[in-house]
Amino acid sequence: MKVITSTHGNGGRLTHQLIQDVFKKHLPMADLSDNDSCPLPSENLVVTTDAHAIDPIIFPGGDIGKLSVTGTINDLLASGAKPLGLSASFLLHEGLPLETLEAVLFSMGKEMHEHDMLFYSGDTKVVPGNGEMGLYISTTGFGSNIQNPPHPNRLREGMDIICTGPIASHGVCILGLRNGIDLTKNIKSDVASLYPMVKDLFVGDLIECFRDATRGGILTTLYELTQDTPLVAELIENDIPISKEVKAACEILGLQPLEVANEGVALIFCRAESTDSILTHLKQYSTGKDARKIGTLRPNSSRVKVHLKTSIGGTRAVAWTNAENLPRIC
Amino acid sequence: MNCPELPELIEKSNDEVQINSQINELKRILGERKIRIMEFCGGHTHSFFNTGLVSLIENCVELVHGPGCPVCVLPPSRVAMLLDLIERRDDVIVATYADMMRIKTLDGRSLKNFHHKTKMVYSALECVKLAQENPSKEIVFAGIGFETTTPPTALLLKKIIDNEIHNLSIFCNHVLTAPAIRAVMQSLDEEMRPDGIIGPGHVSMVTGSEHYLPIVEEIKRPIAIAGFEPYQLMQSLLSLASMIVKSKVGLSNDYSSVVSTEGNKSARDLIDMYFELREEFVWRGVGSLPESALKIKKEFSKFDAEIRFEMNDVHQAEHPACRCPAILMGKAKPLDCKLYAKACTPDNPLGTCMVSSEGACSAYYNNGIGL
Repeated sequence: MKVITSTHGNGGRLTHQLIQDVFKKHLPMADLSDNDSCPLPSENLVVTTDAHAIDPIIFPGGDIGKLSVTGTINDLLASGAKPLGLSASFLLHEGLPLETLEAVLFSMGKEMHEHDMLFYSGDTKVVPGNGEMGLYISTTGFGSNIQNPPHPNRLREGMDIICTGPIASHGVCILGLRNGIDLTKNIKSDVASLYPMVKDLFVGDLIECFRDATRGGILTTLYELTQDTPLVAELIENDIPISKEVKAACEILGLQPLEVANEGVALIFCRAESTDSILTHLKQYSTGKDARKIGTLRPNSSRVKVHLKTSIGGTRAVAWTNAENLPRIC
Repeated sequence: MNCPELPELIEKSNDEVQINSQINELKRILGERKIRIMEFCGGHTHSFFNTGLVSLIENCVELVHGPGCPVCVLPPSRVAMLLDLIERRDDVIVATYADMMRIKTLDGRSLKNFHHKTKMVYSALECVKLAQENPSKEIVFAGIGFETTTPPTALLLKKIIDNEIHNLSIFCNHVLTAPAIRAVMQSLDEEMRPDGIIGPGHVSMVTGSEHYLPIVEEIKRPIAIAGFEPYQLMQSLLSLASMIVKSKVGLSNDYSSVVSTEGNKSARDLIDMYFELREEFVWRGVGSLPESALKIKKEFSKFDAEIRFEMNDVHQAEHPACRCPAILMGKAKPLDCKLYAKACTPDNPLGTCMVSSEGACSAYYNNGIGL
């Protein structure tokens, strides 16, 4: 089995060969000598940056390569930008099997091709793995802004909150894999680009605010967006999309699904009159077929920003903590 | 016959209309009266809050939270003993359940700080593999919990002995439910005593419902054993309310789908084979209670980490302002504590009731109460 060695990272012939034979094979390289073939807009350029570290690097539903591209795209979407391309740094552990690297780059290339994105520049370093054989990818995404982009400062009371897909599957999938939990073995990560599904909605200016709900789940997204506003999110628990398998796993493991990570779910805030047409549109896409309106923004000076009407008709607030997702004892 | 699947049944029983009719029935039984009910088990506390059931019954039921939270009742000295062991022995790896990792001693130490020497496990039996994979290390499983988690620890001990696993031992912190119920009720003045108790669900699956008969007589309060779904909690409240209004003292098993009269005898046999009563054990908040906890029997002492590593009891002071002790005894509520949601939060827990996902303080905080 061919593996990455320190020689791949010393800048010599082997490094050059790795770039030519492996990276350039899979990634849609921009020809920087030709301004016309890889234009970045001089106005309305949106730049995002994101580091990707996940263990295991290949998981049901995707791998770190796909994640690094879709994560970058979804970040760009939060600014209402059309994804154009990215640059990336790769930190490779010594001992990483070459075929794993190829699989990851293939996934990256596939996502980028599907979105007509170009790879602008890259760098590779090899670091001692100390027994681990992973890789980390840091990306910088480039996009072009639309005219009237969605923005948190457009949030107003009475706006509806739409959740684009079933929550918590990524986090539960990864937690299960890391800890060898049998219960979660059929649960796939939701890792996906949300661009195809929302691009027309952006152009139509139907969306006031858009945010992919990754680490910390939809709870964190709701808190981040509302914490400096006089608004709270009032959610209907029964309307929050979640698969039966994920819900059961969360109950058994003692996890709060609202706080569990997603990689292909976003929250959309819109005027109430736009909700139905947005939902009709989202449901045409595989990433949006389970989209639901999950609640509404209400005026409230409470520091606790997420209020829930529970499935039995009770009410509760949901605090925002940093506590890790640790399973309960009994 | 077409049987609906279990989750479907649960969903139907937790339907808003169903729950509402149970609440109306509760109000009919109680009239104007408001009852005080202790839910012994931390899992029940969280179910009451997380499902929003508390918001629906607050006019007729005041919940008094009990000590049934394994991490909450563990005195800091037991964590300090583990920390001392890790610090003095390079070859030791402590394996334990998640919440144990986060308990901090007053000087700020926790197992989490030693992540190369600790391992979070979901099941006690994972330690077998851990020991096999690390033959040059000494694996110490820190067992914790009431009767629910004791059988898996006993099973681990059986595997250690049967498979002659020499680098695996057990630090036993298993405690018993009955002495805790008695101690809490005895320490409360008559007017502070709850009108009835919701008995633990998972513990009772092992002990059986009849285990509570003598306790009911002794504490002169009704006990209803409950499951964790809102409709099951409501059923136990209905049973308790019916007895309370008639001043009846009795036992109701409202979790009979899981809890039998005699319980799980083979699990108890397994416990009896390897464990015996400790003369006394210090409980956080409660103090020293005779015959309230288990230790590994003498004949298996070479697998008892306390003996193998000469782990001595280390005195550990508690935070002077922390009200966990009073909260665990039903004498205070989280909002009575000056530290709550100020110095003590789930991100930086000072008391065990905030550390544990079963603790009353974390239930209040996670539900945004008093924030």
